[in-house]
Amino acid sequence: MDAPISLEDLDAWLNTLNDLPHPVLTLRSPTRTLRRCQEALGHALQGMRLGADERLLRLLPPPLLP
Amino acid sequence: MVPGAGGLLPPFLITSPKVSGVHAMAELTRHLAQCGQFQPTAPREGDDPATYLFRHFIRACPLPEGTRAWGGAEVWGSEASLRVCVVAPEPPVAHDFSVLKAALDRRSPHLFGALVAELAERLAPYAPLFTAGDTAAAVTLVHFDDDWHNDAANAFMESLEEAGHNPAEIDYPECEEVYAWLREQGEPTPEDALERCPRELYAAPRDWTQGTLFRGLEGCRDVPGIPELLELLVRLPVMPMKRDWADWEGGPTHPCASHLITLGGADDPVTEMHDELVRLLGHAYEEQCDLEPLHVAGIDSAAAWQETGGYLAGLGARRGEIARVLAALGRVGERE
Repeated sequence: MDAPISLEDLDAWLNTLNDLPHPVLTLRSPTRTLRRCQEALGHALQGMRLGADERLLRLLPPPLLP
Repeated sequence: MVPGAGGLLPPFLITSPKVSGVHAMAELTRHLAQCGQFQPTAPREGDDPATYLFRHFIRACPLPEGTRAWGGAEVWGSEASLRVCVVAPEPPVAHDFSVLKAALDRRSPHLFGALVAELAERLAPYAPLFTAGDTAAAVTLVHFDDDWHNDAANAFMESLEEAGHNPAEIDYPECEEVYAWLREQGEPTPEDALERCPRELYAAPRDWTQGTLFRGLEGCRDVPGIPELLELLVRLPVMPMKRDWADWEGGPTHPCASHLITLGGADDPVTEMHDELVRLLGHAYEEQCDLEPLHVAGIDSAAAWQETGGYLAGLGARRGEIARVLAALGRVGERE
């Protein structure tokens, strides 16, 4: 049985965790063509977790699906 | 943290590159602990916020017997949720509904199919059924997929060429042409295979509503098991999730049914097709394979934690009640 800890100890542990980066989808320019957005999305999706993929795919309009 | 994308198309979000999945899950863990959803315990070696939070969720909201769950982080920008998949990987129980069908057919020839359709949808989050409808979908997926259609069409076009038709004048054939040619060759077609599972066994007529079904069943209260079934359907919470084992991304996933609805007989197509699917996709209860979940929850707040906990708290009792009602309906013949 794991020993109970306080909220402060939990907070301390959470603060020690490595802040691992994850792929971030960043689209800066509103002037990109649809094709270039599609390519950017394709690259971003390759590195993302499955759950995030599914959620992203639900949000995207069909013409932009890679 | 996640501003709207201004002039970009509406679905686009610009995320801060400083936000990470671990950080977002840690925030969620901290929040849920502060809300009192769980008593924090010492982390184990190798824990990350998702494994830690999932362990505490299962400890706070125990799984009923016969079910399993796995969890993971789902992160979107600075937002995180704990994704919890609940499965029930036990061998299904078969129920012979042939006598029930005969009893319902005496009232209406559509009542049985409408009832099976309603049960398949309503029971899926608790104890999924494998019915003639799943069998028809499986037959199409396993034996008559897109590759099969292309191969059959190509074989048909080759036969025309061999018969002396000018290849330049041969168009890609319609399904009906290919099926007719296959029948001449004595080969099975999807239509032939699906004749064993007609829609009347698993679907209501298009103009039937849920009200039509319930009124029809009310007129069958003398059929053993129907009163208990009506009571169950009225009380069973409706869950939004639809079954989609056949449409799972990347191909069919294990339907993970808890009950088979058959019409008995030595060559029952439902049992046959379920066995074939299990041979193809693996035994859900023996090994790890992709299983269709009963429920997928995204826990991103105290309210979602409690909602999912409430679902799990009632799941065991509901699975037991469903099993008893289906067994009663399957035993109609023994008592009539």
